[in-house]
Amino acid sequence: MAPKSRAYWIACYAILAVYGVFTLLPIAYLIVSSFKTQQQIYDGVASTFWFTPTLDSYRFIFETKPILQMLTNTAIVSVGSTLFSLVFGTIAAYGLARYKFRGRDDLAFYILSIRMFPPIVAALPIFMIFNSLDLLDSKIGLIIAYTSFNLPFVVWMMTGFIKSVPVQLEEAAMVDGQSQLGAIRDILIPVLRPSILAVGIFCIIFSWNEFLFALILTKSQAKTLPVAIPEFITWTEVGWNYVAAAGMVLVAPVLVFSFLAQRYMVRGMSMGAIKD
Amino acid sequence: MPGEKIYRAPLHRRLRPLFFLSPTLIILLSITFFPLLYSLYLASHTVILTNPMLEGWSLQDNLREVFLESPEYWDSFVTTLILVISVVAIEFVLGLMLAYFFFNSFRGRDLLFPFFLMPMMLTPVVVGTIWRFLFNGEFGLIAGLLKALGVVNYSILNEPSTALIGVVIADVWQWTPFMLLLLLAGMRALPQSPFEAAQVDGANSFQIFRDIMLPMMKPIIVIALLIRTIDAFNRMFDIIYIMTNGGPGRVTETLAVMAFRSSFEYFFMHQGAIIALSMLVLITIMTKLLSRFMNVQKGD
Amino acid sequence: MANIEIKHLKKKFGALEVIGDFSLQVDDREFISLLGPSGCGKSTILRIVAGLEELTSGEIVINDKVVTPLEPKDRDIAMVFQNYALYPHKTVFENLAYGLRIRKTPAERIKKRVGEVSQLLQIDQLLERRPAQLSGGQQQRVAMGRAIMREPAAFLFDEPLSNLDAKLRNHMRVEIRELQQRLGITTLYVTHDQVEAMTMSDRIVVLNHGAIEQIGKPLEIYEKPASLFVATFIGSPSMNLIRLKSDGKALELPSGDRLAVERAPGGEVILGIRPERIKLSGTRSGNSLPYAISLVEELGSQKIIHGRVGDTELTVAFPEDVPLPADGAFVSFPEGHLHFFDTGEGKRLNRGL
Repeated sequence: MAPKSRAYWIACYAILAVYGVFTLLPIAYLIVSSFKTQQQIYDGVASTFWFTPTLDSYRFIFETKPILQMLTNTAIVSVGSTLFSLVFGTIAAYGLARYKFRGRDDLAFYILSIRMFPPIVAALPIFMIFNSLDLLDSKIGLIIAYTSFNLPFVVWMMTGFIKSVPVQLEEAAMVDGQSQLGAIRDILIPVLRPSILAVGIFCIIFSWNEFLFALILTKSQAKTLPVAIPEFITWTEVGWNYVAAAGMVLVAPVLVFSFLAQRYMVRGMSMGAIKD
Repeated sequence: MPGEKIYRAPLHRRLRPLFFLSPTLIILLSITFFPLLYSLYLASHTVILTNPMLEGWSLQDNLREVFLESPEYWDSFVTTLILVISVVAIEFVLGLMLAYFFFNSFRGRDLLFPFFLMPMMLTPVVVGTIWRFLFNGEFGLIAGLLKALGVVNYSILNEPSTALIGVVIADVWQWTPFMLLLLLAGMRALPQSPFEAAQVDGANSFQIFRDIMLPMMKPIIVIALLIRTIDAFNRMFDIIYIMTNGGPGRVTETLAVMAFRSSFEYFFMHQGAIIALSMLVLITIMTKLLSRFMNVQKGD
Repeated sequence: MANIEIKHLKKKFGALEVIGDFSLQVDDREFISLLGPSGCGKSTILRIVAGLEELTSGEIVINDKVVTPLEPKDRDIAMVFQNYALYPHKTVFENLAYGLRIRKTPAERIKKRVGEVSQLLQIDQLLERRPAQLSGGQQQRVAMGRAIMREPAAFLFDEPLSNLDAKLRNHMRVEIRELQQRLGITTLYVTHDQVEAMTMSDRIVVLNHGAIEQIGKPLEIYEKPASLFVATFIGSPSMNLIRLKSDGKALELPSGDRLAVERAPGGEVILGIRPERIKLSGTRSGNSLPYAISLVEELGSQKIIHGRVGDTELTVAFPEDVPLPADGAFVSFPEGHLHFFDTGEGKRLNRGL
């Protein structure tokens, strides 16, 4: 790139600094608040970051709410829906990527457009249908509902990834004496492993963070943690430290996870986005 | 040629694409198509959860109720439009600027980058909560800073004139990183030679950015804008639900929130269904318009 | 013993016919090249023989067995791809061993065979590496090695050398041919490079738009091109073509000059003559024409001379050790090397010449 002027560098660092504070401050606010007592919340701006940390809030939420159960529900539903979508989505993506047939592009577009459905459009009738099928407040029901956005995502991303792998790799295996399914298993899947991992990570995060379906479709048995967050606020805005603690329990795994998997995610995102 | 034998591949081989696609198609059809049909049923009948005695065909009445008898739908329509446009515009400008900085490298870039991406990983409900408390007039950090400037007990989310701004800030905070990520990926995928040619031709940095980089990035820009528009329209529910629940009054009640409240606070399922279906129509029109406006070709 | 027979092969993509009625017999141990410009259908034919693509009508026979409905794995063939298609997640050893592993060959036999093959191809030092750690030439050898591991009935090559640089390509050309002759395996070789086809093949099939233009030994194709297409596609620099009138005894060039010949087809014809067959001299003789030189390309081994007879452009290849005539050059066309083509379909008109 061309060398930049002094003004550019001043603007660059100034904007990055301001935006950096803007981005990090709310997260820091969440973290510190979760380690405060209810009294310390009111201590004013000066002591926002200067206080004696305590685990009281965490202790309180774990004692008063079935946090652990909700956390488990969230994990089971996320992983379940992700695995389910990955298996069927990758198989479908193979069909779209490796075959030419009439209506293929329309089909691909139809699958993508499902992802563009406003979730509320699906949520209402699914609520009524699950109501009559006795699937309300069940993890299976929620897994099915989450598949409605995870599956199209997997199909879309994996189609791009599979297209980027030369078909000759599978053909070479077939000439070598392998069946088509064998070639997919022995060659394509191992080659695509990083991509599958990236797509899976995204599905898990989408599901983990999902709110609307969980709010509508669960009550207690299958309730996920995001739905529990608002419940801490309803009593007149006093329990910010408790909300913050619950929020931390919900957000920390994703943050840790995404830092560990950053490499895959950035790669996955950029490749998928540029492919189409 | 007479007697030419047309070769037919074995049946199982000709049906192979179907074999790969059918599980997904069956699943997707059953979780989208049937619910959609059911939505149409809901929209055209009277379905009130708390009063199961009322039922029967009432499409015209339902439509009149939602679209004509009160201005609520159209208020929400305008709110949604304002929100989507301002949020996408701000996120695009910020995202593009940040992407350019990160593209050109600076000291500590790779260390800083993951931190800049953090907001998009967070649960939207938690993001809404954080901002709700940041804006809280009594003890929130922002209110505290305002207090230091002499504005006492000002709660942005409680004032009809500023509540929407609060929501916009929260959404921009969460989703600008997504723009940054997509646009940066787009920049990195550009070929080098046009930039070198422009440099040899004597263009300065800004001219190169405006005349070379932006036009070449058009496809990824279109995709980024499309994704964000659709998502802002469809999914800006969680943040609002938790920050304001549509209030004060109805100033932040988007169509998604309105559909939800009609169905699950007032239990008028048919109204909720109509509003939701109208969103489906709107999003289809918007995507069509946007992609025509940007004249992208479909396909790969 | 293995032969390949392609009978009345047709291939359509929708309404578009890419291959129309193609038949070919590849004898045991024979090396046949399918030569043609890109898009002529040569790779499609190869892929149909391999079973990687369905055909519209016709029949494929390998080793006297009809394989048309069979999967690639049941055809007993090996294929080398243009991009090599080495399995990126496997080591060179595993790449070579994969075909035998599928067939549940005992581990010791696999190891022994990998040893033999890797020594033959001089890649025995690379067995623990992955494809990404190899140079282009090494990848090419591994791809070759993978093909010969199983001692298949037939080799199929799909432009295997086009990703290599010129020097390596010349080297691998010789190596592949030697290997094929030593192993005696029937080979179908697809290329768009006339030098590869000329130097390696027993016979060449020249293809254009999915149809056979000519089948023949390399020299036949060079000396007696069956059509204008073959004439211009083979040879470098390519054959000079002059549209002229003939009365059977003399040719009237566009410049007005007349050339007496012993025998020529009459009427409007296209005369073809290879640049390297044209005689160039500084003195006028009976049947020579004045030639105005406009540009000389020095190639070291020869000179390529561009010039005109009247208004007709003519390229001449001239040996490097003979000095060019200083002023006033003349060209003459040895009669044995004249090719005549009809002006319509471009078919060869020489009879018995």
